[in-house]
Amino acid sequence: MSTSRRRFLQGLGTAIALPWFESLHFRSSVFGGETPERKLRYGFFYVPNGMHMPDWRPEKKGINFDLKPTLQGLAEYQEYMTILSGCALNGGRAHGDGPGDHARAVASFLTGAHAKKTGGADIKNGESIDQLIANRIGNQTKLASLELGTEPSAPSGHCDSGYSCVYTSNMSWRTETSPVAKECNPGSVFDRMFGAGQEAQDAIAKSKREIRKKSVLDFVTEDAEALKRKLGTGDQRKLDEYLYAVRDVEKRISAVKKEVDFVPTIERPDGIPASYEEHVKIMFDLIALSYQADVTRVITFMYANAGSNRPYPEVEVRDGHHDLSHHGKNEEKQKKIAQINKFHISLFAHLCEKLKGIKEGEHSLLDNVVLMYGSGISDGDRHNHDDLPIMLMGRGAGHVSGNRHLLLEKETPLTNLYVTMAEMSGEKVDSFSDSDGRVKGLS
Amino acid sequence: MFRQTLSRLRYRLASITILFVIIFSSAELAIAQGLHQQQADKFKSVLQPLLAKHCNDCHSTDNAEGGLDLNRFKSYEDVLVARERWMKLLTRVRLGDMPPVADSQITEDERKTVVAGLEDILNNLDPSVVKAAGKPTIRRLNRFEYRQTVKALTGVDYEPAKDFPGDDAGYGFDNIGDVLSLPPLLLEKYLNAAEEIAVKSIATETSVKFRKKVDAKELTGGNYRQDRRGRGAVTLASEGTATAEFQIPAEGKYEIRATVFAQQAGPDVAEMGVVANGNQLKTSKVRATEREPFTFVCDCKLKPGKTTIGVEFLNDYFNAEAADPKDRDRNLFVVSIEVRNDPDVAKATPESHSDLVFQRPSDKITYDVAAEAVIKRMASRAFRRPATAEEVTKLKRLADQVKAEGGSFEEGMQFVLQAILVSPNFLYKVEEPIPAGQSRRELTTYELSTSMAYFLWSSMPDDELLASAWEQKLRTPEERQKQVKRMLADPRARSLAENFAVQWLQLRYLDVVKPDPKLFPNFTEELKSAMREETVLCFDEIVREDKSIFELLDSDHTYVNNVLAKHYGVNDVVGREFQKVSLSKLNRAGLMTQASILTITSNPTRTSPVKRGKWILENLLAAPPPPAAPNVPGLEQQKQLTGSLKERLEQHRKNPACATCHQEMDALGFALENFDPTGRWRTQDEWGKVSIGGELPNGTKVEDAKALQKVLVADFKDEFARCLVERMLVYALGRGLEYYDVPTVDEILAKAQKEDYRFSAVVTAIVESEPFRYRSLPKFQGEMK
Repeated sequence: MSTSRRRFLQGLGTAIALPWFESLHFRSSVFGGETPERKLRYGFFYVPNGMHMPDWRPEKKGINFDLKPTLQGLAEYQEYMTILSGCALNGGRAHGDGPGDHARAVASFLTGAHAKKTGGADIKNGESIDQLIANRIGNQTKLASLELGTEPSAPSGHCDSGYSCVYTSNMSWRTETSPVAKECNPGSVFDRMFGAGQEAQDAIAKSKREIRKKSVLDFVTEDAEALKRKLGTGDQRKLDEYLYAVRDVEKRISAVKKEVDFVPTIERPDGIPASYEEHVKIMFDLIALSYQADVTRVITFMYANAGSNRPYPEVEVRDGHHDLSHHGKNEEKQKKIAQINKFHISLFAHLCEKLKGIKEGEHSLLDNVVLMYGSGISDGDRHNHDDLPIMLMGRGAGHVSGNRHLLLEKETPLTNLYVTMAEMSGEKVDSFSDSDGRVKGLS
Repeated sequence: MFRQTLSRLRYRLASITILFVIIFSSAELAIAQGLHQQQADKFKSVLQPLLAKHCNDCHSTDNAEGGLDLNRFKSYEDVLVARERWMKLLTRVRLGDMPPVADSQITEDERKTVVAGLEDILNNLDPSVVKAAGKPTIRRLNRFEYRQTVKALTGVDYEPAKDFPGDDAGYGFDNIGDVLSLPPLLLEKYLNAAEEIAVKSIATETSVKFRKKVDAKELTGGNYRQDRRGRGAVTLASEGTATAEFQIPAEGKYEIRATVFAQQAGPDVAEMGVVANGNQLKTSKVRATEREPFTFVCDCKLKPGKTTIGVEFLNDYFNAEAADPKDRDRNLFVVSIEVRNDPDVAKATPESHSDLVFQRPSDKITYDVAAEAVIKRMASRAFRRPATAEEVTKLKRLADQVKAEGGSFEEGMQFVLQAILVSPNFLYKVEEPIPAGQSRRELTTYELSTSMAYFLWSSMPDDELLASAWEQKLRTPEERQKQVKRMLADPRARSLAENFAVQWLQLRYLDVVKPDPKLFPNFTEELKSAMREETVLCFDEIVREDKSIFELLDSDHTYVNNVLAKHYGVNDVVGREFQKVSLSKLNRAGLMTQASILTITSNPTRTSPVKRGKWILENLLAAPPPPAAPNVPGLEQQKQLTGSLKERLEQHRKNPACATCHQEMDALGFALENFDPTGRWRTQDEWGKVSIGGELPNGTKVEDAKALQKVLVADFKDEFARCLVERMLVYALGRGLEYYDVPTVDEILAKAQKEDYRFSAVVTAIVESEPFRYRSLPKFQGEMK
């Protein structure tokens, strides 16, 4: 364990008072006192390049299903686990657009949409489910949603067979033309959760700074609106995006009462750790912390971008993940793929452990989350978008029983699950993207 | 089928590829006048009847399948307007998807006729009819441009900008408006950055002079006491700290002056430490006595904000048994703590300060006049055009707000700068729209100067360029050429190598590829950055010395430092500095043999001749092979393949589905097999002696890297020039190229050729081109369902 990580973990439990919290008090409901209402939190986790399905899909269906090797790392949490077999992402398919399954898999994963094939001009996908949920319930927390990952956008425009990198590196889409960029730097995530760095905080007194920021936002809103009136439609879209961002930040600044009255229990992480494993674990620590502190109730996390070719020397896999995923039934390659899948799951177990250790009244945080984990491709060699590997973790604040393997009808739109999940928050969602029903049997 | 339709094109590497290349085949486009009419006739006489016969059953009327009602396309022009849709249709007909085999009577010959006819119509466009400037979406600055621009504008190098999110890339570059999104996360970062940059670039009045002394009586900690003469001091009897709080106005150098004395006892001299916010800055022995306290001066850098400064006692001593009562107790006394800023105030003031706030209110100038002047210049530079009176008024209101709160003039200007740095007029490269009723507009000289500056410098126009815009000089080609030459000679033009070349050649993948650390422990961070730097320097030399673009392929020298030279097997290059070295000495041959490129085209554990070949086709010859069909097995998956990599690829090529593309990719890639996955020279690989060399489909042999270089230079100069021009045009315009850009690319190439493809000739031709200086919508564009 690296020193920075050790320090980081040691921080857990030893609350460090940060100077910009004027009133320091714990949310009494979380730490004893009256029984809290159960707050449902959402998470969506993406792994690239599909899954070695024989090591994933249980043979038994229903309660007390069998855990295949990939999922054994989560044996401890089986009672919180629901496996859904049979889901499909029709939007991920070619529909005459030719190759580009990796880009489409990520683009459609949370949207169900069929992304427009373009290298850049006129990108078009669809609203993603996390954003829909955040849009409904996000006003209850400081941040409506958090979008996280480990790899920034790909460094070149050639991403997947004529698809812009915007599709391969963003799975959250606020509107069909506005992807929501993800944050990969744990330090920046911390700042978003608990305020900016101390340096800037101290420069001018906080209240004065906020008043100024609001004036700046007022000024630029006027500026942008004036500019927008002058421009043509295509350009206006860009200004709309700008204005949306301004309003969003404005809301966040004005919502003083939504200020997180929670003392972060960890130090601000210092940049991006060199090791992938450490990086993911720190991100997961932060995810647990955001749920715990109720900074947000909707989080997305990409283990890596679509078609990632990262090798995993941590588990003795020296070839690139994507290269390997075209295994052609070669057993050795498939074994390595399974090893990668298993490794990703072992990191997920770290998150489950954290969540289970956090008490919320008589429940644990793991009881109050519903985390969806999976890939938009099933077999990396076939690039098929049906029979997807999909898992739910957590009991969804009472909406999910756990310990079940649901064998859904073939070609069940994955978006059916999303409608079902969204409605757990008490919101009414008639349909979403290509959904044609709901998933039954979760509880 | 695929090959047949393409065989009409003259042979070029590009011929293996997809429509994209056909679009850009100038030979086809150069067909003379009357083409437009011919195509229109052909649509009516040949295609319409065939489509009606085989497609109308499903694709007519309002509820036609897939929403495609073919009856609505009455003419050739209708097809062009819905060109995108027809391209898709063409693909499906070509693949045999449509019409569906089961219900179709279409003969193979008819299908061929439809495919050939549509290809002709959609791709052989009459240049005189289609040429257009296009209209890129307005775009925000990307993180690199933002950082450069902020630096040029305020003098502050804002490092956190390098991690700003939302810079997605399209068409190979990260300056494409359509995909540069602005999520709230980024706006939040802009907002925080603006605050910090404003504070750092403009000194407020308080930071000009700072001096505060806190006497013992006001100190926290220890016990306050007075001597008989009424002089106060704080006693630190055991290890402890006496502190005071200071409101540090700005980041900079300060002196902490602690006046102390001690009462000595025991073997050691009393020791003190100076602390700021709990961090010990310096320690010192204290020999001074009450009679003559001593002032310890500690130079330090402090950050703005509330800062707790203290003096701590480090070595308490108490021995009640000591014989001499005066030798029993060691104590430290603090008389005062003072903080002053650096005596040389000018040093603490940012350099940019006087540039930004070049005027302040005085006896001669009123506040209003001074504020307006400062704001006008600041906003005009930031917006890269004269700020309007309305904008100045609005910005001044912010300054007035500060003034009303009792803030200083400088604080007001800080606030104005803060707002400017978040304004869309600063963050976006704004261009006026095409006026209603007009089809084409020329950029204003300001818009043009901005486009030139971001193209050549990735930064804002400097004062000279803005002046040229202001004087309208930039309207003449002579002035534009003069400015291009000046800008290319400027050090800022290195961004062409850093941003354009690095992205064009895909070098950013150096940060992504992960050669197996066990097999390649040599691949260190240091080596990686040296690899990148070699390619950057080679490109930069072409820019700086205005050489022919072909020197990228056939230059006789390169740049290495000791690290890279050692990697290349040469031990007598000394030092970290890069130096020019002859290629013959290194046994290398041009761009393709640079370690950077050899590394990004390899797999973690082995070389990939296929990826290397593909890289050449894609990035040097603009002829990307089509992606492998999804059901074609990759190399390492076919169990029956045995032997060396080359042998296995030979077996792979026996599959006709693979052969067509692989013959070229493999031949090109195998010429480079003497270089391992990190670009080191080798003669052995894991299968024994490396098998190197291959044969192109036209029979040309490429035995090794030198032969490959020769082939590229001798036979593919035109493709290379076209490739570079196309990529550079994408970068310069911030949009992908379209069918209507073909004539523009041809013109640029023709102009460059006349000047032996010197770099400045290419750049000048781009700056002079229609899409760089004008905006117009393409003739055939619209929503025709």
